[in-house]
Amino acid sequence: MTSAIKRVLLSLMVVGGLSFFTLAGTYAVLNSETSNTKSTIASGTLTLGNTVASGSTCFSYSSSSNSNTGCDALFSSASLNYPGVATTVHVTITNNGTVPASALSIYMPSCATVTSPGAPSPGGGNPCGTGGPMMYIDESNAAFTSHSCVYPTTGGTCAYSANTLYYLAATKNSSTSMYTLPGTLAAGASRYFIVGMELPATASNAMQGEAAQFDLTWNASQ
Amino acid sequence: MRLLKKLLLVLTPMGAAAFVAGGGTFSSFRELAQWSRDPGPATDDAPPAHDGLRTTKRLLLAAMAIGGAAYFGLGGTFANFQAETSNNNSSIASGTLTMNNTVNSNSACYSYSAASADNINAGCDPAFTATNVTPGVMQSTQVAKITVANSGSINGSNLYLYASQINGKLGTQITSGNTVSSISVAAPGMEGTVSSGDQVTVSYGGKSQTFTVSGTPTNAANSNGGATTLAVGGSPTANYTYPIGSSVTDTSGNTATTNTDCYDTRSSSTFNFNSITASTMQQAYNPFCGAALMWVQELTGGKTYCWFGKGSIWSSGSGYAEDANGRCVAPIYNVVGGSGITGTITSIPVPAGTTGNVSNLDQIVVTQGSTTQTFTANGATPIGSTSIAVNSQAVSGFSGSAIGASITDSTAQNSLDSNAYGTDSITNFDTGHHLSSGKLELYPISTNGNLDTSPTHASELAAGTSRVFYIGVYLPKPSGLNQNAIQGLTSAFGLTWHMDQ
Repeated sequence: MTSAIKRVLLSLMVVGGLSFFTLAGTYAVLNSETSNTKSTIASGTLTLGNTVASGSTCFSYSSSSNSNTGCDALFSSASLNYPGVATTVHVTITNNGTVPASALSIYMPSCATVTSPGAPSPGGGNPCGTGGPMMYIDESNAAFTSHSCVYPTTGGTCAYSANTLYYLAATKNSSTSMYTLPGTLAAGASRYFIVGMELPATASNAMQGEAAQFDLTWNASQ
Repeated sequence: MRLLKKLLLVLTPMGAAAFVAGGGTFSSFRELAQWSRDPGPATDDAPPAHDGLRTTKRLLLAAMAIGGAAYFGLGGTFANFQAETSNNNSSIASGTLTMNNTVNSNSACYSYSAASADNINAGCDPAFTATNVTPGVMQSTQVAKITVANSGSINGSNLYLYASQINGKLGTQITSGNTVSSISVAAPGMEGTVSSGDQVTVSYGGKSQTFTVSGTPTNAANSNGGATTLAVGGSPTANYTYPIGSSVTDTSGNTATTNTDCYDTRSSSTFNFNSITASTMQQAYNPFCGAALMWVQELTGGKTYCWFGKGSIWSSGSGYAEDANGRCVAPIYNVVGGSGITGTITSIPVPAGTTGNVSNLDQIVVTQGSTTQTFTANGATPIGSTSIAVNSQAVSGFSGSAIGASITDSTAQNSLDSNAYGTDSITNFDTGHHLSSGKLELYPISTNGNLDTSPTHASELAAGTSRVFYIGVYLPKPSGLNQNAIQGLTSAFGLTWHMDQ
């Protein structure tokens, strides 16, 4: 029995010796630890709201790319336009995110010629081309009292001038070739615009029965 | 003499013991007397006369005799004079190895204060609570100063920094002897993504038990991150009563972008464009964790070393080398202080100390409302400096001497913008520097940018000393990259400081 105990003790001594010489530094007798957990960083947001007249607000974030192409149309071809007769619409653009937009821009990704509703025989002209409708964008206060033109000129009172729809459709038609409006759009702020459209009084018969179907995109960038 | 008497008295029972032990050998005192005269064999099967046992018996018998004589015969032979001294009340006290860390000017958080009662405190202040993090923009909330101190009496020979393991605190007690079918985690749930099959350890006061997660954790916020209930497989029996507040640690994480301690949640469920699991960005899971860059800059005793980030050899980018001066690319965010800036200046006062490193010729931007002016750094300004030297330039456009105006370093920010993704992100810190692999051992800094890694180097955190680290995060603004997919996300993550004796 004594011999057996001796063997066990000897084995333990050997194990202890081995651990002392081979495992040094692996285990600390004492240790201490603190953790700074639950740090959070939250990214900001830059999203737009778009309200046409008194319609429902359309949000950019409702799409899968923060670019909502389904907002209300500015004008309807159901309301026929006649040369020399202007029509306007109120648009409210809101930055409902948390990051200020350093720039607010517009561009016209598409403009296509379609037949006016009920037109028996279109004149064959191209309202998206030269000689087509004139367009301006006037900035206003929340009551839509205009105070400064932002397109096609900046400052002062907006006036219709030739080929202003065509200019956007032909040259400012993508996110890489935008028309930048003056000013910025702070987080939580809104800007109010009056968009005017008029077929030139000198429009030819070729514009009869023709409609310009266009998209106007508002872009805010950080 | 008293000592001698004591000795003799001790010998007496030894002698008696010999007699008793010999009881089986001698049947009477006469046999004993006979044996003492003739130590020959007392019985037929007795051992030889020179047997060791007999010798011992003789010695013990003699001791008994001496003891008896001492007791009865030596009384009254001691001197009356005596002298004695005693060293009583000796005590030995164990040392302590405890640490604390302090975020900015908050209260110190001690390792021994945790509910888990095991000198491991996973509940220290967050380094950051930064909101509205925007690409290409530095804010004051994106830099944290963490002071790590040894508050004990024993030197810490090793000090480590690594990503926290996926962690939480027990929300409902686990009772010893009960079958465990689930683990309840206190709000806000598990920090990190827990998956089925993960090994989760519950520990308290040196006791621990490891469970295997079965099934998808529930009550998770958007993904498996933030889980508050972990189903347990195998119906194990609890080996201890683990109280509320015990540590809950998932040891299976920090190996891939899908299971890091850092995890993303969506700030708003109304957005349709910021999925945290779809391949919308360079990193499918937890994309904000993968996009936000981090750096760890040490400034202790006037010496600097970049432990992680652009400028550190420990970063994950290929070919990285430690900056010659031990300085990370760490964009500052400070405000103009002191007497401000007016007239023509050659320096910008920053009494609070710069929160990053400024390199020579960096573009320093001072902004007050819509007024901005850019200055050119004149020489390098290391972190912690109280002024930034700039080329002589007239100040214009600011009110109130620009006091309180923000100061940023657009050159440093641009440097990180070009370094975006795949290098020094929080995700890469988690996967590259966690408990199982890649722990950063915080060797003492010998000179700026150099460590003392010799076997005989000094304690990495000696008793009563502290080391200071600046942790920064920055969301880069890489050119030509649409970052909408990381709008409206919140990343949660942790850092762990560990000290060994």
